[in-house]
Amino acid sequence: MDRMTCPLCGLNFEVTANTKCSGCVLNKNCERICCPRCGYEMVAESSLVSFAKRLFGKRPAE
Amino acid sequence: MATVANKPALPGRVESQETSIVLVGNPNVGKSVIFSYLTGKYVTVSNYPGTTVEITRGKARKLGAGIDVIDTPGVQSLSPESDDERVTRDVLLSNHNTTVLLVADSKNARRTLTLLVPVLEMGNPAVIALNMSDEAKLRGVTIDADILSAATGIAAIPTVAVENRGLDKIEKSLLHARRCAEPVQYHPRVEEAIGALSPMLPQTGVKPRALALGVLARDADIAAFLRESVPKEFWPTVEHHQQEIRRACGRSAAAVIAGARRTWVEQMAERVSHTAAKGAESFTDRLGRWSMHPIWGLPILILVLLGVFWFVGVFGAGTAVDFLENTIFGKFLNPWATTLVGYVPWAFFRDLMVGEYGVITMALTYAFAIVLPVVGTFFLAFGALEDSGYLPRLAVMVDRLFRAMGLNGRAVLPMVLGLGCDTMATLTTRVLDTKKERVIVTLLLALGVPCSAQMGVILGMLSGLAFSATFIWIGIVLGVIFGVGLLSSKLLKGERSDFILEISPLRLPKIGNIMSKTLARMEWYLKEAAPLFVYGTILLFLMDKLHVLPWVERASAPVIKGLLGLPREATQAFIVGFLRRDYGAAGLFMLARNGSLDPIQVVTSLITITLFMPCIANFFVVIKEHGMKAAILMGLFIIPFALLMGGAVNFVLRGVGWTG
Repeated sequence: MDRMTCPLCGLNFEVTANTKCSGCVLNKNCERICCPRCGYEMVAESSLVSFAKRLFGKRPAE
Repeated sequence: MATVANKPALPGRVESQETSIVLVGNPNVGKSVIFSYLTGKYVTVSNYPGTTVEITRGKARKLGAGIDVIDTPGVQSLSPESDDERVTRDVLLSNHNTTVLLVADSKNARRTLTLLVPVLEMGNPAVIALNMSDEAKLRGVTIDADILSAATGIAAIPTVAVENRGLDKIEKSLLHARRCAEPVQYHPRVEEAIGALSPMLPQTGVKPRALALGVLARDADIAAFLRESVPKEFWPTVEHHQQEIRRACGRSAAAVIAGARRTWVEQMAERVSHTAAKGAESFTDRLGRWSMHPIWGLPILILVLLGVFWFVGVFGAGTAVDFLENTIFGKFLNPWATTLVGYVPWAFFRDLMVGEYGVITMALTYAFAIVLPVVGTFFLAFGALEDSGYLPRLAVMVDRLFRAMGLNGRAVLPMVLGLGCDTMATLTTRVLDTKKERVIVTLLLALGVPCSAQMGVILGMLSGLAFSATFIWIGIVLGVIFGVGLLSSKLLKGERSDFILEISPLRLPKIGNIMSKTLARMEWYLKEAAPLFVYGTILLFLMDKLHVLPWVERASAPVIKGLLGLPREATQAFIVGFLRRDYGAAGLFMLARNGSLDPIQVVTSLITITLFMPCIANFFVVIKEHGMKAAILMGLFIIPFALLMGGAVNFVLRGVGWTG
């Protein structure tokens, strides 16, 4: 499971399905992740970057 | 190993009577290294029940058979605001015979002490590992373990976990861990409430005092698991004491409790933490400090805005848009698409794709050639600001400014977040106490806070004018926000809620991080905005085909031409502006690029569209949060207000002969 650090309040948190703005009508396709503490919005890693990482063998630590 | 008597299970928790050591600490303080030392190789990793948060368990190697060691996720506090914090507190509440090993970052006494208070109040025997003491020493920071130990009554041991230094002492201390006396003495009225509530609370793994403090501070999780196990008269008693505390202290019980804890942390940090006198403060440190200052922070903010303005306006809205619009779309894509679609025999379809309001020639050209390079450069600049550590400083400075104005500080956070996305920021207004507060902050957001995409397009348009145009725009938008904010501060009597920001050192942004964030944001933007651009274009296309568009333009002429002094075509920008404010702004951007708008018209149209409803998603969220009636009333206020402000700007600028 990915972890992110909020650039605003510094909270390091696990990215789960609950870290989305569930009340937003656009959330189905929304890539943004809300900090559970301050609500600052971030975007999940680009699928292009994820693809490149997979392609060049940079895998998440076991 | 200290133990406590077995007690009944807490409802809704996975209870354990096993003797255990629970490692608690902030993120990245070395808990896992200490956990490995205590347990050895064989551990199990599982999700905490009902969550995706991982908990690692193992058996202590040397402390005795049957002792579980549990590694919890890194947390900032035990007032749960994330799944990690919720799970860590649940583990402490659910394991009865628990000794807590608080793993601390020796470099940051305040952060450690903030987490220590609730741990001590729970009443478990505890030991503190003052980890990373070598790094702290290098920075000239020391935490006096003896003073901390004497003040709290529990062992505090300096460690360097990665080198196994001090870990043998930790292991020995865990066998004789002690409980702390009450660390914080609260206001007498709070102590009286604790005394009254404690006998009514069930016996659990933690002290009734900790549970009483939780319910008095309106901790929803503690209230939820006590719901079934307290007598009926408990909740009215809680309510009564909360009111009494407010009457005696002039603040809510939550604020009084948080204030007392903060005071304890500050006083204790002063006693135990020492920083060696450093040489001259580095320029970065000074810059970081100035950027939070309510006065010195302003010129820094202006410099930052100028940098962003130049980069987005000159490079994004100038060079990049020119290349994409005139070369890529103008010379290649649009002519190719027109030729290709020309083979289709249906004129209706051809018009829909490549006509005046065509999906390719308008929606996709706007999305990819106009807005994407502008917001792309804005995202690059914003990513650099995020990575540099400037944003938390900006939040502190804005908070101080608002506080100086006497505004309700809780309104600051949604307003700052609105610069990212107003829709999401509207959802964060849920943290406000009363409906009136939530409605007013939602109104402020919808009215005057441009989202990141809109901000990019606005900067792009303003860059083509004299700098005074930018000052007029900023002045009017800030004036509206502060005007409505001041009005709201008169109407709203609220308390400031504490908000923890970790102020990391200012640093040079990393190119890799910025590029990765920018790519992710651009990808997100295209997924979210491009479909709405297509819907907006189809709406204009249908209105044109059904001859509604010329009628709407004629009907709105008294406002668009008469009041705002804009050309008739600007009506289309306001129509699609209902779907997304940045799409409307992009329409105005095109008019300005084509030379259809003079400088006064540019400023007037930007003021009007900034004060418009942000987007249709925002409108739906306002309906969801506040109901249809409030949303319609807000719309009925915002739209005429935006038009009147735009009209006033038009008449004043023409009256004073401003030429841009």
